[in-house]
Amino acid sequence: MHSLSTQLGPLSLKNPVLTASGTFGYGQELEALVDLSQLGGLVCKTVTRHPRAGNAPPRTCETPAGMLNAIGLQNVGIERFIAEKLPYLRQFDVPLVVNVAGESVEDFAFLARALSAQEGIAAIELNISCPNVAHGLDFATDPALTEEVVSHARASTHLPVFAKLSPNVTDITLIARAAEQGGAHALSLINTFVGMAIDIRTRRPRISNISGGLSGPAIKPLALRAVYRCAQAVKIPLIGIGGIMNANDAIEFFIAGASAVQIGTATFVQPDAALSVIRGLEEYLDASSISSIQELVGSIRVD
Amino acid sequence: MQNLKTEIIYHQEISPAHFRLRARSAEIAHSARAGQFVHILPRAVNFSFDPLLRRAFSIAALQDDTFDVVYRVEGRGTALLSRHQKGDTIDVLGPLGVPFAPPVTKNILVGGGVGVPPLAMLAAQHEGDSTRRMTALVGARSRDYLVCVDDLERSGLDVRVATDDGSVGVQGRVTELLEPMLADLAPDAERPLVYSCGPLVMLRAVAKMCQTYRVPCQVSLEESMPCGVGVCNGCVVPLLNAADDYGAYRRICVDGPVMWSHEIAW
Repeated sequence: MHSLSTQLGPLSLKNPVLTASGTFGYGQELEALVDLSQLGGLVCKTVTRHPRAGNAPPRTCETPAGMLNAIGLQNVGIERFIAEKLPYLRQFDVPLVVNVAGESVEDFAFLARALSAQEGIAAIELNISCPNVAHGLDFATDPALTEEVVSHARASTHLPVFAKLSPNVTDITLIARAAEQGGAHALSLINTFVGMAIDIRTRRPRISNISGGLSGPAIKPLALRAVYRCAQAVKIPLIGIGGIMNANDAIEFFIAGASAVQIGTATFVQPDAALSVIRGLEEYLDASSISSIQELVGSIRVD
Repeated sequence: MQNLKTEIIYHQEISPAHFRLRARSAEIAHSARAGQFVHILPRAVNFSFDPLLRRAFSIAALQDDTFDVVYRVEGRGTALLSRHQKGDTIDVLGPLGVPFAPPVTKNILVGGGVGVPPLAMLAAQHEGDSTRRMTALVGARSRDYLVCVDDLERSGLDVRVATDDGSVGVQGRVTELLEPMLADLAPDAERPLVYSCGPLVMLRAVAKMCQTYRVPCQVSLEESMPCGVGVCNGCVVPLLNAADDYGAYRRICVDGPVMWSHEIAW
């Protein structure tokens, strides 16, 4: 019998497949299409201290084997999240990771405190890497600020804290070390790459924000390298994110050093993509006579 | 709403670069309502990842256990879809979205180009209902861009056509056909209901005209739509007087695609 279970700091997961923030709404939208109880974990859409209207449309456009988005963290804010979204989410026997974003260290600490007081939350993911809002990348491009925001969030909650990092930096391992130093229990690697697309007929950017975050299969090799490099640099568990479309993609991330993965853009194409990845991992372990997914984690051979 | 593998049973080019696709799905045929759409993956599920995303198409017609979409080849996704053959399987998510509101005593359908298909389905669903009269006004660039006019006529509608080049019907815009119908209404006359689907510039003009003549209007909107089920928040439209501090943007895929034109911040 194989085991898909994994550990993200103090948090145990029955399998290593989570949904990525902003790609699974608050769960309810996909209820008719996906058996949520099968997920290893559910990371819900970013919540901020105050409600946010988001960016003007057009907000997305397709690119080769990928897409750009600049949603702008549209969300109902922490108060209504707790009142309206959380009761639905916590009825499932699935660890709920609440992704939060703030404009200041104090915002992140406030959100961590507010969520600590609620039942049914397994962990907090700090979105210090949104490329589509003003100052969204300030934290994740500065090691000192990263350490400061992570340590303040840690001090504000008993819940495990994950830091979601940006790949839009010169050396992501410096930021990863800073987040580890700040006390992060795990790192979510990576958020989207900043990119753009232009309509040659109108000469206008294809999304109103001019630039947006690139996701999908196009970024998978870049994300994989970020995970591999960070696995050499830090001791805390890593969550691989970036263009994972199927179990084979996920397995690459485990081999590179990830203890879990998040499925994002693939869900837009196949609503049950995360469940397909879980089934594919089971088949792979059976077919390869590997008893535990842990045997794969960081098993890359470079000699 | 279901995610289905459906077999294509008919797929023909009906005019240059315009296709009619019919696929088998009792689930969609039995539950879809006019104005709803299907989200079609134009490629094999796990063979290639380019183009990546699904494409949204309004449903044009329903039969016993099949549904039709009518589309124009505009980009890579529709080009790839157009190469599918009868007998091929396509991955479909649907039916999705908010349908058209029920017709009233007098109804005017205003369609442009590939915006006509959902209006044709609305007409077909009320075929023979003498208590809900419908008239159709159809605009297109030219003869080659006219689709579903025969569907509207088969449903018994009086169809008037305007083309930019005058190759069919009158030369001009579809709003030039609409304006006299609204202007002739006595101030205290019962208001017709206008249903409109087509390019954004046309929808804007129709919405403005309906506002001028105090006629209610439903529009079916289109936007780049990654997920189609409300999770990505990509396909939004700004509304007027949005009820709360969440902001004015609403998702076209789940809060639309059909909306009341007076609610939209055009």
